[in-house]
Parts: sequence; C-alpha cells; structure tokens
Amino acid sequence: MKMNRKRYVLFKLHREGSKVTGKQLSTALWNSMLSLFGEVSTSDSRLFIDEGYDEDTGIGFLQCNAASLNNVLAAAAVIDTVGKTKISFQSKKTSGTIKGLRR
Amino acid sequence: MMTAIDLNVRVPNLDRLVSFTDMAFELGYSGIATPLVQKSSLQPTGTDVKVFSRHNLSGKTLSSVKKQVSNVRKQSLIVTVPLQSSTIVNWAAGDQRIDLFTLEPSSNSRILRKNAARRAASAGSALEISIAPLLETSGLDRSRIIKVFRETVRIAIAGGMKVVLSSGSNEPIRLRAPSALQHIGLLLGLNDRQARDAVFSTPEQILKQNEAKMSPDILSPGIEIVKRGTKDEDE
Repeated sequence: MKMNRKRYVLFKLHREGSKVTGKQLSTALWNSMLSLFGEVSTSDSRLFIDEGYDEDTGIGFLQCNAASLNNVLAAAAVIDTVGKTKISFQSKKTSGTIKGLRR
Repeated sequence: MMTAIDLNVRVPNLDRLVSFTDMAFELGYSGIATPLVQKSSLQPTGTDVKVFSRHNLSGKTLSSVKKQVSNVRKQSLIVTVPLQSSTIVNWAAGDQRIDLFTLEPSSNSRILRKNAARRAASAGSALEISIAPLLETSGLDRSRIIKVFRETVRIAIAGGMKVVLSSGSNEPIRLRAPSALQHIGLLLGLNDRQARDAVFSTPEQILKQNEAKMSPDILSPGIEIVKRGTKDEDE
C-alpha cells in the first residue's frame, strides 16, 4: 500500500476584482494552511496547484496528500482575499486520479 | 438529491438580493434565508434559489425579547436568538418557537450549558455557527474565535442539539460553497455526518417543519385540518 496517497481536487475560484494567478493562489493557500494548522501539518500536505489553472475562468485543480485533504479544503474555504481580490473557493470534485476528475 | 440552504445571509438591501441569489445558485444552494424579507418564501425572477424570511431576536432584557417572539413567529420561517445573555438563553432553551441559537464570536464559550443544550434539543432548537468571523480575522484573534466555536459545538453535540452552519455573509463573494462549509464544520469539531447534516439536511428540515406549521391547515400543534367540507355537502 502506498504511504502517501494523492488526492486531486477540481476547483473553481470565484472572484471580485482582478485576476488571481496560480502562484498567488498557491501562496495564499500555503499561508492559510500555516495559519490554521501550523508548519508541520502544512509541510505534510504536499499541496500543489497544477499549471493548467485558468486565471480567466478560475478553474483548475490542486493536488495534495490524501490525509491532508480536509485540512487543505478547510484552509481554502477561509481565504477571504488574495492580494486585493476577494475570492470564494469552491471545490467541485475530488478524485484519486486526474482521469477521475475529467469524467 | 441533497439540497443546501444558507440560513444566514445578511443582504444589505433588496436591490442587491439578485446578486446574492445568483452567487448562491452558482455555488449550489437551493435557498437562502435573510432578515431582509418579510414574506415567508419569495423567489426572485430568473433564479432557482428560494429566499426565506428570518428574524433575529434582539434585546437586552428577557421581557423585551419575549414580547417580540409571538409577533415574529407567525411571519418569519426562521426565528433566532443570539447566545449572549445566559438569562435569555435559559428561557429560549425551553421555548419551541425558537429555531436557532446563534453563536456570536464575542460570546463567552461557556454561555451554553449542557442543561440548556439538552432542553434546547428537546424543544427542537439548533445551534447556528456563522463562519463570517473566520474570514474576517486571522492569527490569534481567529484562534480565539475558533476556540469559542469548538467548545460551544462540543457542548451542543453532547446535549443532543443539532448544529447548522451558515455563511453570515454581507457580500455575495463571501458566500461559501456547501462543501466548503462542510469542511469548516470538520474544523469546528463536527464529524463527517454531523458536518454534512449541518449544511444539507438540518436547515432544510427546520424550514420544512416551519412551513408546515405556518400552513393555514395547522390550527395548533397536533391539530390539523385534513379535509374541508363545502356547503353543498352539508345539505
């Protein structure tokens, strides 16, 4: 059995204001994780936002450790702003594979 | 299919109601409750999102709060009491007309006692947690709020009370998807099933019960008009 199982989350980022880049979103997510759950838990999350994130539509997918999935999604839910842009993070689908997200 | 209803949306004025319902529809809600509307159920044109009426009881003294209940109960589908004064909480815990006890971030984490939670559970009242304060704060301030929320949730669950999660948002962008509320529920100490019920089934249950009670066919608890006769039948 794999020690670190991955989970992929298809999300949509609703925003009010200017576009949010993948890097900005990733930083905001990491900071939110750090604030809520601390350094150790954040480091174990293996959180990563895929390059395919579309800044215009706000749709993309992220990858994280299966054990940290709930923490990652809770941290994403409490993010209010990224820079000066107000956002609302909506997870649409969760899967163990990227192929599963596309179904 | 599970439907999600956000029971606490602080729409500032009627002009902005459509922007809230549009956002709620995008996020997957079938309804929102707001203190703004008086009518029990109103559906703005162009959306599939129902808007329900809600009344937040307020008052510094018990007598002022009690006076409001009889009037608002007939008009609003949701009636709430803030968890601020222990006198009001102890009275409201035994009153079946109260649907939700709303936890304010400034509340003392010991405002809800286990006995009051048990009585409130018997009366069918639920604890409501609005997550807006978690979005507005960070660091130590947020940690204090989470502490109050977690402890009160623990007491409510131990007393058998149901928990409802709502956004408490005053802007459309501050609405959160039902799945996001569920994950915040896990953060606050609910288990998977409780978090799911707090977003999907408990709000809907409360609204359906109150809609049925406000039906003209319900004369009083336990007495319902099943069939109405006509003059011709009598003759």
